[in-house]
Amino acid sequence: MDDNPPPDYDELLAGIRRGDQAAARALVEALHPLVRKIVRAHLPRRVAEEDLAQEVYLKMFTRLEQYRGEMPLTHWVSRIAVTTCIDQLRYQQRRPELRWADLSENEAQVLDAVLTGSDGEDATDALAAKELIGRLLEQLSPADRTVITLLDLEQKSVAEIRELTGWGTSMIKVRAFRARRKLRKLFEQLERKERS
Amino acid sequence: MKHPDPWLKLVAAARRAPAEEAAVLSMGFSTRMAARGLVQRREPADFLGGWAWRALTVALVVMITSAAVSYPTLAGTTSADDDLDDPVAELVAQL
Repeated sequence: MDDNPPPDYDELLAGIRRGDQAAARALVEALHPLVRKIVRAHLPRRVAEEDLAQEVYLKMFTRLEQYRGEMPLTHWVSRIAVTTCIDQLRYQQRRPELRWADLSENEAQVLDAVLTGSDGEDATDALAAKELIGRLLEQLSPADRTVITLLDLEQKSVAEIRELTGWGTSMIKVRAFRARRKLRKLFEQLERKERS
Repeated sequence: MKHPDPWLKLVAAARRAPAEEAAVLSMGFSTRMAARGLVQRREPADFLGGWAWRALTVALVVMITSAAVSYPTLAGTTSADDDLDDPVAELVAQL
């Protein structure tokens, strides 16, 4: 259990502005659970979690002068983390076609279960489902992937996504619609190929 | 029979996965980040500041040199204009 009181971000920021390394270290430590959660949720394959987190922190330090305190620091850092992940996804945008044959045995079982409507209840299925979701999300554009991850996996509201990404409500809704349509097509393709 | 959206079923299945382990920082990560972060915070300003001063110095030198070089021309333009030969006027005067 975490009994630590929440850090005083204003004090830490003041320390960083004075060049205090202990304050900078404390800020990284305080923000790490948040940054790690975002990075892990949006992490592209072949990118180390820590490398991406590092990029987020360096951007945060470089842009700290731009932080005016209009929103909580955690929101501001979350936005940096989300946009850094989108940039990384754009950078390595290579989407090989997803084929049934590429799936592991567990992933194929889970996919079969969701397509036929039967239920899998154990943790292995749940982990395989997570893996399969990762593979499916790779087929989407970085922006669509981000929206659907935030909306469906992290269960964020449109308002929260707007705050995290800076995109407008209609853009978020359009991206979610497009992502779901693409996912539906992917399921249909996989099912068709499996049956043929 | 029409099945519910497979995507939503898959998301629901993934939610049953056990919670991930707590966020543990690797050894020295925060110290490394703090050091690099503070260095990066200083560098852009120093870098831009240095270049800005250099650019300003060069701009001043160019301005002074061009003013010095062009001064006689600029100062002499009015009198030179007065003394300009006007062949048409001369021709008209001869008529």
